Amino acid sequence: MLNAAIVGLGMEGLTRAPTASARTLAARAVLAAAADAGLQPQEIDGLLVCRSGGASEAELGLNLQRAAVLPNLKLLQVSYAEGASSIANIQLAAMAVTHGLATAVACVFADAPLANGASSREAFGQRKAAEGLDSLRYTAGLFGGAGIFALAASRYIARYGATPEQFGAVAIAARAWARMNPSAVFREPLTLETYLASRWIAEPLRLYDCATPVNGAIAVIVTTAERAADLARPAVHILGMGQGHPGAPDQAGFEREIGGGGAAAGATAFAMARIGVDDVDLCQFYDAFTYITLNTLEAYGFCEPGEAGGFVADGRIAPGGALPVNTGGGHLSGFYLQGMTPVSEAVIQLRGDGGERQCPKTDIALVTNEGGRFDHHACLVLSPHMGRR
Amino acid sequence: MTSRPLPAPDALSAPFFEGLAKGRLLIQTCRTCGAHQLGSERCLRCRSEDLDWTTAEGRGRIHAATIMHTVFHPAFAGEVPYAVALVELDEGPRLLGGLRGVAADEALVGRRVRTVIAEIAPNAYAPVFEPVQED
Ligand SMILES: [Zn+2]
Repeated sequence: MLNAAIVGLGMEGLTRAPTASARTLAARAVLAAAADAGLQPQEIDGLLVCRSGGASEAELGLNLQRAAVLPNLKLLQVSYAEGASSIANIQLAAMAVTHGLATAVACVFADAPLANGASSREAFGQRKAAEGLDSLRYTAGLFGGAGIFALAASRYIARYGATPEQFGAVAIAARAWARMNPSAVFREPLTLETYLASRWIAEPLRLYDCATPVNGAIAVIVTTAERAADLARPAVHILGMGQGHPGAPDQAGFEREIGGGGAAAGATAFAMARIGVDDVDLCQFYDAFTYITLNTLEAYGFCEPGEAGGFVADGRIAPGGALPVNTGGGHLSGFYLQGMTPVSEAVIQLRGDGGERQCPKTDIALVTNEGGRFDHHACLVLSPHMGRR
Repeated sequence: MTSRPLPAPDALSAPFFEGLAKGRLLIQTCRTCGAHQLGSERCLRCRSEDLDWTTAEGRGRIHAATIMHTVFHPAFAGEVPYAVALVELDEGPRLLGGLRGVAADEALVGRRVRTVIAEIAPNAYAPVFEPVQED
């Protein structure tokens, strides 16, 4: 059985202004997370790093150990599963502390795409190299995550008839949550009228369908449930976890634009946590684009395939709704730090630190990460209560 | 003005791009089971490594499509808005390319298209798609 809890949270940057490098931000976040937990830096004996797909080992890699001055590591690794990397690292940390490979593992993601005053589209348009048939993306002019997920959304819309108003409901819910989060980048009100009038980025995705890139770093510390009980802050226990990697090709008979690994990850994680989807009180999804929220709701069985648009349309995932989703504003209105954005908000909520946006019931949180074109998925089931062992 | 992004053939896709330069749309065909595909060193159906390159007809149906309105790359500054489609060829593989000759407000997913091989820069070729009548 898993014996692991998140006990420290460190957040640095979260700004569109120029900052220090990703590595410097990562080191600050790791040390802040340790301090938050009530641990000395020399007590951190595991470090699991992940970075953005376009960043290099020199920018942020194993060198983080020296940047943060962590002399006692028994576990050190850079992981890469695209957008699923952050949770994949936390899963590895949970297994490491359960089995004694290490006792206090820092997991960190950092990125500084806007460090030189670059715009979002300059930062992410062609950040990842593309070779072979994949290079047809750029020869055709399909740039950024927006291009990729616009294609995916077009397929979903054609298949199920989802409406702009339904996509808008996701963006508006995220903004309504962000308005209550001091760390969120965009906090002005967002109406459906403003959403619908916003410019196209890559049709069918509008400006407000897309994430808010920032410079920043987020780290968490994972230790055992027993040790967590003696530390500074309330423990957030890891009850379950899962991954799904469908490996679907671009080929007739496969639905790479609609499926994904969420269903497989959810089956594993819910069985491990001994819960069902109805037990989930709140969700923190990887919502780099509105469509991913719709996809994830369906993958985990909160509604049937094709029904997520109707599910979100009446404010169900917004403040006051039956299923709070992305309660800090998510990537859309909060800040895009890939897989760590949803993790950090789950920790805040399960500790009861949500302030104005605190959810009333936080016994079970589902946290998801999405990578590639629905190629890589990872999730955690978290709770302020220890699991049954 | 910055030049357009060019195809970047790798070992697996070199015959595909060499085919385009000769005016042929090549796909992989499994010598063991006859399945068609693109982009894998192994047959997706039977996992054989014994793959051949054969000519595809170039007809297919739009699987997914987007209209790009944002200039992410300076070479496309004069082209926005422009359409990009992921097309499912009748033989099975899906191929990404520009989409020409469609109206701004028409439904794109599901449309029948044909493949045209375009010279996007001197001696650099990429597939583009044009709508055709239903068969
Ligand atoms: Zn075969």
